[in-house]
Amino acid sequence: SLLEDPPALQPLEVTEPTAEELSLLQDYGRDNLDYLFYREKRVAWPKPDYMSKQPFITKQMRTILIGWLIDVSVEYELDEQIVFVAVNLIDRFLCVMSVVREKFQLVGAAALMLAVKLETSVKISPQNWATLTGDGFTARQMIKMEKLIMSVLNFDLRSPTVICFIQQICTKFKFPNDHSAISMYIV
Amino acid sequence: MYCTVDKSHTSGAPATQARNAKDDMVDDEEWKNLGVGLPSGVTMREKKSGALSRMQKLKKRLSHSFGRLTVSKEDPEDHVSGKLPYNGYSDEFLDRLEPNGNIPEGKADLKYTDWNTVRGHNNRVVKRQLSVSSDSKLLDDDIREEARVILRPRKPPRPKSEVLLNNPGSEHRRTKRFSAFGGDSPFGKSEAYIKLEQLGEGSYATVYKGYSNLKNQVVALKEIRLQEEEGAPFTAIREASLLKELKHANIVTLHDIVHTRETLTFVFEYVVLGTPGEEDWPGVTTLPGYKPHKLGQYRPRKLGLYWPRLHDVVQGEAMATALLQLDPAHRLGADDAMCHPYFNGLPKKLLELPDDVSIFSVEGVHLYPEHYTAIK
Repeated sequence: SLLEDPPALQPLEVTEPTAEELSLLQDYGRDNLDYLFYREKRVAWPKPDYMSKQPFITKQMRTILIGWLIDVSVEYELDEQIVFVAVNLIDRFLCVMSVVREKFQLVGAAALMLAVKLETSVKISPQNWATLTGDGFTARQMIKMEKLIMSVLNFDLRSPTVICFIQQICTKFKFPNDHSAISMYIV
Repeated sequence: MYCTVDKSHTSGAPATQARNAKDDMVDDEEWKNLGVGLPSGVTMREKKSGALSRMQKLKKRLSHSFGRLTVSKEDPEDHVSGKLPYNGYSDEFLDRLEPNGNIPEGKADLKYTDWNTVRGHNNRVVKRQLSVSSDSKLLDDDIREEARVILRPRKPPRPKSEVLLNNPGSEHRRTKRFSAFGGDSPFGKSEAYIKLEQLGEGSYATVYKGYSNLKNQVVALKEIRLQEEEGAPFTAIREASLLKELKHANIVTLHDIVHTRETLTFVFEYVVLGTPGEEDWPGVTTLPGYKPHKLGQYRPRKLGLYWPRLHDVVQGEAMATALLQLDPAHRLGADDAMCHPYFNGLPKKLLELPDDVSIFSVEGVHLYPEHYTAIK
């Protein structure tokens, strides 16, 4: 059920977890993995075919949007986890709402902004995000869309991503680093 | 027609200026990122321009790419969807980049690649003009207004159940499925809560005592002020999304979230044992921090009003109340607690069990681990 995102994602660059992260994962590994599986069942996953019900946007547009999100995250040296969270937010948002083509990038940018706020302490202002969209949108629109995404998803923003599972499982079974690197690449 | 052309010239020029200004800003950032370790001005310049073009490549409006997709793939489909009325805005919804005779396909591509040529510039102005009409309309409207115009909830809002209001026991589960957005959901609306007096103030939020019209009970309203230019603070987003997941007896329950233009309000359960007074806490008035005018005077309420599940257990509320007395003289001791009617269902053997024998040796006594299924 994790791989329900319709089109394939582009491969991401791989970073190894630090020693500190590893020890944390080992100490709480069992609980963490349990919790991930529990959350996986609870979260409302996007339906695989939701795009067919979208009147204005297509899978190809989603691919372009995600490509752009990855470019942005690489530029800002963001964790790959963030893109996954953002894509999850976008997919779940699109399951409920129809979006016009012109606003699709706004949805993507706002989702990434939200994901950054959720996962990191990096501060990127809405004005900066608006600039990143080629000034297609204003900072106010970014804030409004962020608010809309939050209320549509009913503040259930945290959902486990593939990355979480890979990290947990690889540490639990003590896979060597190249295994996790390969699985990250496959994802 | 003339009208729109004028608009393009007035709005297009400042827009490009703003773009330049922003490029300069990023420019500066890149300079800073490069640091001081670079040997000569020449390499610096080269690196700078490389970084700049990378940023410029990033800063793009995907509607270009989307537009090209439309040209190649979706033409007939769009024709159909254009005829369907979407809230009466069918024409507004059509992508302005569509080849309706104004921009031939070849030119659209050219505009995308030759960003800086004169022709590209002109086309960009044209494009800007076209999208400004739809953008500006939305700028000043409220969020719900915007949502109605650009976005439309695909599913009809779930039927509002009257049962919901009369059945507080099963409410937790139901609120989860409700989206606060749109529809008839009574949640997520500020009208549902009456703000009473202030309880406390922190660095980023103020807590008020409030009354919920939905549940007819006292709640705590944590009001977070939103900064106009930052959006919702990340602390608030994390708090909300984490508390949404956590439903546990020992964690204060987040009932609802009200998101307005200026504030974000979390509706919490109101946990109260009453303001301590001299009769239930002898000597409390002489403590240095005891300031009745600041604390407010609250009468203790029955625990069952705040934890309805206590009513589900026979003698549950009586037992909990007896255990939660501050004065040891009035509090229920361990021995007396074992004789409390709450434990009437347990095998009698337990009461005569010697001190050094585990209670699990008695038949029918098991320890159930608290599992995630226990967290509702």
